[in-house]
Amino acid sequence: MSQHLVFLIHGMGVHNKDWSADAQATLKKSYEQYANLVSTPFKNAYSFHEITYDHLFENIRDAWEEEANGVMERLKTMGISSGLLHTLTRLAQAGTGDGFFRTHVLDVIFYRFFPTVRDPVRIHVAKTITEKLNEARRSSTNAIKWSVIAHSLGTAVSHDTLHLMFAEGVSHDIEPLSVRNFAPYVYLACANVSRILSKGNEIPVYGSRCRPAMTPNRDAVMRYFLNAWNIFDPFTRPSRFEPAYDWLDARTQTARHPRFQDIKTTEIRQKNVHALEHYLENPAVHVPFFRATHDSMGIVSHAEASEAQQTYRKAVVQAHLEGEAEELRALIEQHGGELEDLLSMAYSYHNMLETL
Amino acid sequence: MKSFKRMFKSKIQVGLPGARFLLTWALLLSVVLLSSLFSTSISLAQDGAEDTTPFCATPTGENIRAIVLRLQIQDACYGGNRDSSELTLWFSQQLTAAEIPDSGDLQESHLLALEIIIQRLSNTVRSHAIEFESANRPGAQVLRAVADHLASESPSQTTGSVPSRTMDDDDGNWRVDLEEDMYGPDINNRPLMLPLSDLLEPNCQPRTNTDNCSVATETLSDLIRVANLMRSVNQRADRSLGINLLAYQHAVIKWDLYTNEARVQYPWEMWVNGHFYQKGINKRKQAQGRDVRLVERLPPSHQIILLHPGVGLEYVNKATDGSRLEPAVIMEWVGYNSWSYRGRGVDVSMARPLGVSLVTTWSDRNGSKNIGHGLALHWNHNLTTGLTWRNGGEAGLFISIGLAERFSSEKDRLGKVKDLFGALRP
Repeated sequence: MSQHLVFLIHGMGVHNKDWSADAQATLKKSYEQYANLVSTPFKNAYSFHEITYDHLFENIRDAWEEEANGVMERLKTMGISSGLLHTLTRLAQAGTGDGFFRTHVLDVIFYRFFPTVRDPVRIHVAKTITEKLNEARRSSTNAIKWSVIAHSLGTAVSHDTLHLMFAEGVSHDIEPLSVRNFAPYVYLACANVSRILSKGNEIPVYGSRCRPAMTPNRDAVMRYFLNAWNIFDPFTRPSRFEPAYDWLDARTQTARHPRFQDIKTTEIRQKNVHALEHYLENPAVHVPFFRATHDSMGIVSHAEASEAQQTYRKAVVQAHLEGEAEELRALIEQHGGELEDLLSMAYSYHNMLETL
Repeated sequence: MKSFKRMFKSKIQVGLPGARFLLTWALLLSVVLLSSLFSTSISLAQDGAEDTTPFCATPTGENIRAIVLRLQIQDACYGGNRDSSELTLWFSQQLTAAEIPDSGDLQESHLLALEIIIQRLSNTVRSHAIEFESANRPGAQVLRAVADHLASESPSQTTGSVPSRTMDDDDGNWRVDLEEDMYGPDINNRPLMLPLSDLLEPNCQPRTNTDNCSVATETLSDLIRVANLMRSVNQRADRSLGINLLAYQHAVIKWDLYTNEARVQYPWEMWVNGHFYQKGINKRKQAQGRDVRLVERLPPSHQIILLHPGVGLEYVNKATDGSRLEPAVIMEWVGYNSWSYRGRGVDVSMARPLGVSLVTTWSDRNGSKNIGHGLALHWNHNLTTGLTWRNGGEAGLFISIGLAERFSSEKDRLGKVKDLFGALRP
């Protein structure tokens, strides 16, 4: 096979070029631990493509800032410091600046509540994926395999995009993208928030085609779905993604190599438990990913996986983050399962990281 | 050769003793050099062999599980980037030479090229079937079924203006899933072949170190190669990718125009406009009974303006001299802006953007009321002008230049507008 294309889709917050460099390095380091994998160098096995959509939010925030600042300047000159005009301008300015609300929370609000922001994000992601697939098809005669690693808000974006990318329309002018030829291989969702963000949304998370199947089809477009969540990660707790067993079709339920894997991790090795790298460095997460992308459970032997997990746990013990774990546990217990809980926890979590 | 020896001998004979000594040394040196060169070339060849040959050698193992694992590890050796088999090299040349376009219908020449490739892949499997039949090995029948299925899969099934892809989608592609013992597309919800049950198990049990097992493993390697190459053919001939890509590129440009060229929307305006946009999507979804695809989600060609504060300059003729032209805050209570999109593909622009709003202006001036109410007209999204009336009956003319004009500072902006008003004055 040619290199396996892996698209990395980020979560909330500011993401510039090369935002995924650490995540890629983490995966590379992990890959090189396993004897069967290293027979193919990492760079020959995978080709990573990061997808950044943050600029779409940023453009809007900048436009608000310019427009509202101009008005506020004039209001000040005229001595107006109250009333409707002033309130509205202040409201528009609330979305600007560099605070946590602007750079993180607003991303979630944009995506959840503003359809004219949400759809361009999905289309941008779909365009980037199809562009890369087309490039790969042009540059090589090897069959294309592709997968997605999504993080946090990126899981909601990926979920919706994959669902709609393979949807069938009524018009035959534009054929739907072929599942037969271009179904994604593995979808690794780290800190999956797609369920909470789909509440009241048009795409019900358990009814979407973003689901695995032994034979991918229009109702289940991927081969493997890996859902990784850390019990101390506050973002994964409200309305956790946990589909029922019959979410998979009967044949897929019987797969020897499980097509849906709910990967619960309990280790904290770094303070930012929510970080993508923190997920990927855990053998409980990267081993299933390597196995699924190779369609082989034996590619990383059971003994190797156990040993890697033991080594990782030793590192966790050495990190001495028991205090942080307790704080996070308390934070999670204080909150419920709604979107406002997620946003409130995000705020508290951010403050916690700042002070640690 | 004889003449060479003779010449060599004669040269030695005619030479001086010193020269003979030198010649002997030269000969010895050349022998050493040659032998070292020879040994280098051998070791290079061995290095090369260490790099590739063992990795892609026919898998062996103590049991079927070990063979399967080796096949999975060596996936790149079967139609992948580590495959140097004659079939894959031929395939690569043929597919490249076919020059299949990214989008659009395939021409006769493309279809012919694909047909030739598929036939060759089918013949590869058929030759294994014949070999199995003649040696009376188990598995001949399924190999023939695979060859027949390949032969029946013409490129027109994977492309063309009348796609039967929807049907094919449910059958899956030419996959190889050794873990689940599945090979090829599904036939009536069953895999075309069970590579372990049909091929490896009957030939490799109870022992794997037999001729039958070795041939079966080699055949399975070829089957994996054929499936991978067949997937590549199908992907190459598929036109849905190119068509969708063009549609996405078109949609991205339209959305970019909507977000960055149309009037700036404050959060509440964005919410209202988004609400109507989503309502339209939901309505279409309900009407057509299926999802509205991403490629069909194009931006609106209008926007509602609501409670939109802005700045500008207002001219009130009845105000006292020196206070006629003053900066003003303009509140658009409600309004509507619309346009159309023109162009195709990635060459899209906005045409005829026109809008209207009900406004109130606030300005600080002498000899006239500070507040005026009126009507604003928008054109080209960022240019607004309008008329206002005050309680005392005075009329005002205002102009607002959108921030998209990007004047470097408010001072410059005011200066430019003052110049404009100055030019309008009789």
